[in-house]
Amino acid sequence: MIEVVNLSKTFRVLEGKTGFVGAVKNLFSRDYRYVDAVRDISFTVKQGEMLGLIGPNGAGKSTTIKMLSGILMPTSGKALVNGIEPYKNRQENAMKVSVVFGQRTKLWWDLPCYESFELHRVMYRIPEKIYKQNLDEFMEFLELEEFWSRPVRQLSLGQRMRAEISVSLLHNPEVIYLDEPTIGMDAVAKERIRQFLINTNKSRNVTLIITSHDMADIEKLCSRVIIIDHGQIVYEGDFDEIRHRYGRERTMVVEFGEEYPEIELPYGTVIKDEGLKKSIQFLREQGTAIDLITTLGKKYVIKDVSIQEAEIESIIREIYEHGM
Amino acid sequence: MANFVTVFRLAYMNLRTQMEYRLSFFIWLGIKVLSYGSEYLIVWMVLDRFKGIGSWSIPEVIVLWAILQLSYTLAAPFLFHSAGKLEQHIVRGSLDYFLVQPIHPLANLIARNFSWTYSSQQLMSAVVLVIALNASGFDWSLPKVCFLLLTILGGISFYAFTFLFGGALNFRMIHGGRSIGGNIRWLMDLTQYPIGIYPKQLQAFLTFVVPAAMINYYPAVYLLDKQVELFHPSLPLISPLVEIALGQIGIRLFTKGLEWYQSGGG
Repeated sequence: MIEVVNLSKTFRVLEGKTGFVGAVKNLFSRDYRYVDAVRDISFTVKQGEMLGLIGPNGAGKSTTIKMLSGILMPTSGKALVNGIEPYKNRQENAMKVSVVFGQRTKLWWDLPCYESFELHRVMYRIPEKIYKQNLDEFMEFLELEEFWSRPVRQLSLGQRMRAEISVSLLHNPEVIYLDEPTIGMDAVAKERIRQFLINTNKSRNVTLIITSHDMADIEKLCSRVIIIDHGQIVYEGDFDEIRHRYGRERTMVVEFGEEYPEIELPYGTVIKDEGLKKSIQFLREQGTAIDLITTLGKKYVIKDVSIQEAEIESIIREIYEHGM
Repeated sequence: MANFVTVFRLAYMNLRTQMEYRLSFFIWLGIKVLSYGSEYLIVWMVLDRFKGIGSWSIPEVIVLWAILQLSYTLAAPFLFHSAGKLEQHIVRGSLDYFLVQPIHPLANLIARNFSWTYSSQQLMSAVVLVIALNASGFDWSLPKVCFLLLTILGGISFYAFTFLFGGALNFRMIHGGRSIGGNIRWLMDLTQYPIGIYPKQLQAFLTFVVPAAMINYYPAVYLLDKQVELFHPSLPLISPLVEIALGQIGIRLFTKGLEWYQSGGG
């Protein structure tokens, strides 16, 4: 159970003056600006829940995760993770949680993969039986065998993340924080990680808190989302609901079999024309994607179709424009 | 106990990492033997021209110098690389993982960056110290030997303090703490000679402001039974304790500094 009450974090940022003269001035007088990265947010997460934290760049998602995991000290407010304040009891907290940063690694770069697992076993005092049981499971599901004795620096991004997530789960944490876990990965690798996280959540009743830019991550993994913007919660609730209420703009990319200089649309507009490939934007209430493609299929030769859902940025823009 | 096992494991993995780059490892080891060897030689040659410094004979001055060197070479493998790495971690915000592991971030940092290439210098400094002590007529009695060990521990604590103080500043200033904490060569240059030969003001500075003279000068006064004028007669005996206390203050400052850690952009 995680309880966040009026949590805020303010950073002190040096206001740099520009140019050489400015740089010299900076040496003698410094102006600081105070940035409110997280402003007075409150929410709770139940044990075993999968929560998505989404928002544009610089919204305060990572700062929130860093306070919850004990890395950053809040400026005010309080977070309780299973009864303890993580940033005040870092070592006690560390035994019960795990953090995975997509852009960083806790594996030892120059050493074979298994060395990092062995270190984790010692550091977290994992009993031999549990260690073996977990390792066998991860080995099988994430196929760690193929790169087990290779130095981490030689692993692909997908392989590294498989190892990273496995090592993070070795000590049976109650909560896992994942900050952009699938960043930079190809579709197959992403899917594998997602499936593994879903299984882990079900079989171990572990709480997952995820931030991601990839809406598919959130859609597939999280039952509930919190949208953060400018350090504040702008939405909290069901993911399907925001999709339904706010993801009004959809884009269909159609690849035609022949060149058509002009195409007649029942609804929507062509927003990008790349010859055979055209992007058509339409609103949910105008009609469905199926109807649109059926109508087009009757008149034109179509080779391929894909649908792009609204990006998080445009959903947030809509929330602002139309209110909750 | 479990923490000790973890620290050893980290240090072992760090050694393995260094050995992955075998050539670099041996080049470093070689360079350090050469640079320290030549330093000993220079001091020897310079002192050989004099009968002594002030009321201190040549072997006694070498005792001062060897205490300084031994405590430095014992502290450096823990601190030297860690200081550089800490600044990098703070600048890049990569200290994050240290704060979500069940071991003190300081122990984690030091064990990961422990340098194995100082062993030759430690051995050289220890041998020189023993020879110089013998030549100075040192009384190898139990209390004096214990005090000698305490003195070395005090020296290590002083260097640890400079590193930890620099680290704590780094959390606030991001850059530069390392240069404040790490540049202690000038202090060592001053205190490798008996500070009694300096003006009173400088003596006071090295005793009360930056107590570097407490690493070697004051303990040596007791160890070698020197009859010299002191600011206070208790200074020789309390010096190692003051240095050890400084080390403790350093740890407190560092832990406090962690609260300022701002991490990196996410």
